[in-house]
Amino acid sequence: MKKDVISESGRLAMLFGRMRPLLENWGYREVFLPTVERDREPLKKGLKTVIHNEVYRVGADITSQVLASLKQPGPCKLFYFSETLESSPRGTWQAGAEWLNGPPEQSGVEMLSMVITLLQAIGIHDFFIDLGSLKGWESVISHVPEQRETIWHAIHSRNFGLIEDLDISPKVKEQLWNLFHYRRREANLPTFQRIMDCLADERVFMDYGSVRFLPYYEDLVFEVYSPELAFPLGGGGEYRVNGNHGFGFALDAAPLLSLASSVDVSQPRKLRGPLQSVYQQARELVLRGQAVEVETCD
Amino acid sequence: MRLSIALPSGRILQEAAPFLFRAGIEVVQPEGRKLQSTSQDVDFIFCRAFDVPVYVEHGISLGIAGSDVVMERGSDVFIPLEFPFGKCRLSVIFPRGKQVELERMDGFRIATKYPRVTRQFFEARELEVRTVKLSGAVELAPLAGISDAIVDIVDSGRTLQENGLVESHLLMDVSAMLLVNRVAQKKFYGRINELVERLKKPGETGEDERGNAL
Repeated sequence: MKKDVISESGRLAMLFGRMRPLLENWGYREVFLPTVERDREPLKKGLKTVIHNEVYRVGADITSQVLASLKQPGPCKLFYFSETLESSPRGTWQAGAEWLNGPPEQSGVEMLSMVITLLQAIGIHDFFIDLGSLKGWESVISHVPEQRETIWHAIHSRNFGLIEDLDISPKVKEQLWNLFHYRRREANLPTFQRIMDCLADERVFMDYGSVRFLPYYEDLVFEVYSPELAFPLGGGGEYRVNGNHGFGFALDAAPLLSLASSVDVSQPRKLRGPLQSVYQQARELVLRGQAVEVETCD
Repeated sequence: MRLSIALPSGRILQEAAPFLFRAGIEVVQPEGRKLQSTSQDVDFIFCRAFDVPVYVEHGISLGIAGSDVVMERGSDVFIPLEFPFGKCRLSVIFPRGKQVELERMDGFRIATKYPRVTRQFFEARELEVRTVKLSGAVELAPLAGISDAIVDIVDSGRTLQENGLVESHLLMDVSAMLLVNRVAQKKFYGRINELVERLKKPGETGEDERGNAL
């Protein structure tokens, strides 16, 4: 958390307050998950700690928490605002959503539509979304399974030299080279092209170099970024855990706050008067959705 | 949009400049004590070698740093190229006559500029060591009695020899790497990919850094 916790909270409240109705309008309901959970599959990330010889995770990855909490498989649309930790006590506030057991292609279109509308709602228009395909890579890597680890390392670091040095067929190298250098406004996979056609947004690219490495991701992964910032704004993808298909995304609050232009809440109406009457008036205004700031003059 | 490049001062800069020149980027040395310079379409910043990955992770488009520094910082950056210069080794070093096998180093105190890499190396071998973080002249630590060994860069080995130290176990071979900011890779997609390809094939322009025919 930042030094000035209260002012940071105010900014987060404004940001999440602007995002919450939009997520509800998309038909998602907010989920509140425990900060500390006993460590178990498929929990990921978070800060591990031992209490009475039991291992716990503090601030685990929310998608993995949702999956760990899933009692009955069935369609489910959730959203959250939460702080997650990654091996250190310094947390990252995120806004995210998950659609569990929805139709895969529709899930992709809906999740990406939500990301686009959320960013626009907080005044961020200068952004790009790059889609990557893990299965696209795997379809080539499966021809050289003994080199899987090295090739994924090369993809992760964008170092094609590591692949050039491998003793694999020139044809496989060429296919990997083509994927390394594939970043276009059209996709070479029918499902991805249909998703891009549905979105019809110039800011969406197919980029095989966009890969995310959480173990539950299945195929489509995406990264959201703005040319105005050095860090991605967030990302997501589709996953399968225990037979359940899911699609989710998470956006990091810090970069959103540094870019967002319209997260200010409306100014409160200032009321002044005797204690009894001024609060009578305040109650009426608050019920009508008007923010108030009360000053008494008894 | 302009590219920005973070370069370390010292030997890596001297060796990197001709490579960049042959790839079409002329490094402009800063005037006096300035730490920045600009060419027609590139901004340069000159920083400590250990800080190059940090600058790149936080927004400088590109950087050149040793793989030792990259591993130690653990920055979230792309590393598309390993250069054929900046070659040396990161090794465990003992005072002469006090070398022990790696397996017997459990509980040893090790002085180093690389505590993260050192811990990872020993943890992977299920050995627990204590690290003492130093910023320079690490060779002094065992001589002053504050550590049992050191983990440090070895190039010619002359400094070790002169200080009565012996290289014992290799942690990693080191060379200079090109670092790329994750968002810059997307912003300057074509330009960076082209630059990486040109840096892989130095000398193709047929000129040295002063424009003389090679």
